[in-house]
Amino acid sequence: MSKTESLVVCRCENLTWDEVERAISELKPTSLRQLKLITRWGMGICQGRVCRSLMAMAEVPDHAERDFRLTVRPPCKPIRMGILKDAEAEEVGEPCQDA
Amino acid sequence: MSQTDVLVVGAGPAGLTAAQELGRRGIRVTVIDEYPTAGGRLLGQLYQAGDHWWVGRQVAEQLLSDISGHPAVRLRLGTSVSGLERRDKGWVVEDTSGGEPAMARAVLLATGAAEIPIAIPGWTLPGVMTVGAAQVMANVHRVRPGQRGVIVGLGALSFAVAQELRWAGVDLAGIVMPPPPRNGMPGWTVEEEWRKMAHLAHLAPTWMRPLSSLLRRAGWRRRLLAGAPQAGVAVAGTRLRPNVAALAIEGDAAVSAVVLQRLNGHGNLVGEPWREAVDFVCTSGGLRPIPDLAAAAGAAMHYSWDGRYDVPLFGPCGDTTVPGLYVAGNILGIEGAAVAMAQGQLASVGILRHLLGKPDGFGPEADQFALQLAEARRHAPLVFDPAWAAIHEKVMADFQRETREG
Repeated sequence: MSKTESLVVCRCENLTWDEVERAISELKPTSLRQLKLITRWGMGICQGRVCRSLMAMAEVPDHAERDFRLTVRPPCKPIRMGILKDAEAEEVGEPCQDA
Repeated sequence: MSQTDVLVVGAGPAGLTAAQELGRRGIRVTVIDEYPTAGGRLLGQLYQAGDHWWVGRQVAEQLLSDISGHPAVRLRLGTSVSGLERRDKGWVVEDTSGGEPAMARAVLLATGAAEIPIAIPGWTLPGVMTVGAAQVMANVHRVRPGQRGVIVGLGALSFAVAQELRWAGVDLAGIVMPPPPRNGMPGWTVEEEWRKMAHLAHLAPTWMRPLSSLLRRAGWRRRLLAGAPQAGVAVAGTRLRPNVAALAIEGDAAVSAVVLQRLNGHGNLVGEPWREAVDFVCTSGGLRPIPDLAAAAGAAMHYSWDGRYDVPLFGPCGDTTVPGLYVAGNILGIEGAAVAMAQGQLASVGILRHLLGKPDGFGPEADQFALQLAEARRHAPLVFDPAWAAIHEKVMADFQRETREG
């Protein structure tokens, strides 16, 4: 009745626990960061704000180093692409011409 | 670039109290909050504390009315802070509006807490929400989350929200446990859920209170909770069902039923599962601080294995290990609004010392606010999670060591 394969652990990327287990057994990630990069867990629009605690609680197998300190880097909230474009233009020092 | 003395991130009880204290002294303060209305979690809080009512919305209105008397305080709502960068002994604060970043001499992070999800099959169906979301629907927007629901988990808000939903005329099938974790799936054990019971027992009906000391002992706890009637025990306008777990949520386009099964004294599933008709489900996995901006700004952190207790190291006046960066409220640990307000007052002292270059100034204020913090803790209507007291001691000791060495 409770099918674990249908258990979604990352809503943004529609990732199920079944897929996470398969990634762990087949690709043997050595850290949560590697697991994240393989599965895209926590890399969707919420950037882990919903699922990060689930990710931190996931039991990684013995061969994996218990690296729960997923680093936080700015931007700490989703921002528009245009903001990055403007920031880049500012750094490069060229006037930003909108197409 | 817009200039201000202090930028406060978060217009909840901690941020608004600090802004009020600073504004009173003519310090220029900008308070940013992602929500379009100021007040933070105060907006949804409604409970009886002893012989009086705590109406969070009124507390927020009072704070905002005090602040409106200080022209040096500005509110910027509906905007999120996306990054902090230290520059020229101050801070460049980037936000999601896409406008010019703000420059501030000091920053107060009062970003509060987030709810921890409980992932059970079907939790992505429309009609499943966290208890906090149900609280916002019922108490802020005055919308019923559904006709009949169930609360899964013994998080800090379970009882308060159950009572509020009852007042809103919503029927509940009770408070049940999350399923025991299996196959390495993320989750906590039933035993861990049960342990929370001992600290919530003061909310139980009077006849049950003598049992609370028994609930602190593992053997008795198992016997009492596993032996509870399947229909549960009357608590907070609903029924607590400690020996029933929610295995899955079912429905085609939206929630239509919850699948339940009995738990034995070891927290294992026993017997046959059954269905109960519900049109919404509240998950209550507890709260965790949101320390992201502090971590990104380089403040030394305390980390926990499951991320539930990740907090910046902090000093008595909300100081972090980074000069000019202060913290107050639930970013430091999960406690009530009155504690957050006292922490906001203390942080205002830390910030004043920083701005005026008087590291030992405002002693009487600091002492008074520290007393108020202790008072707020003593009179707290509930202890959300007893683990915080020990973590705070460790974190403050680590802060002392870090700052002495640094």
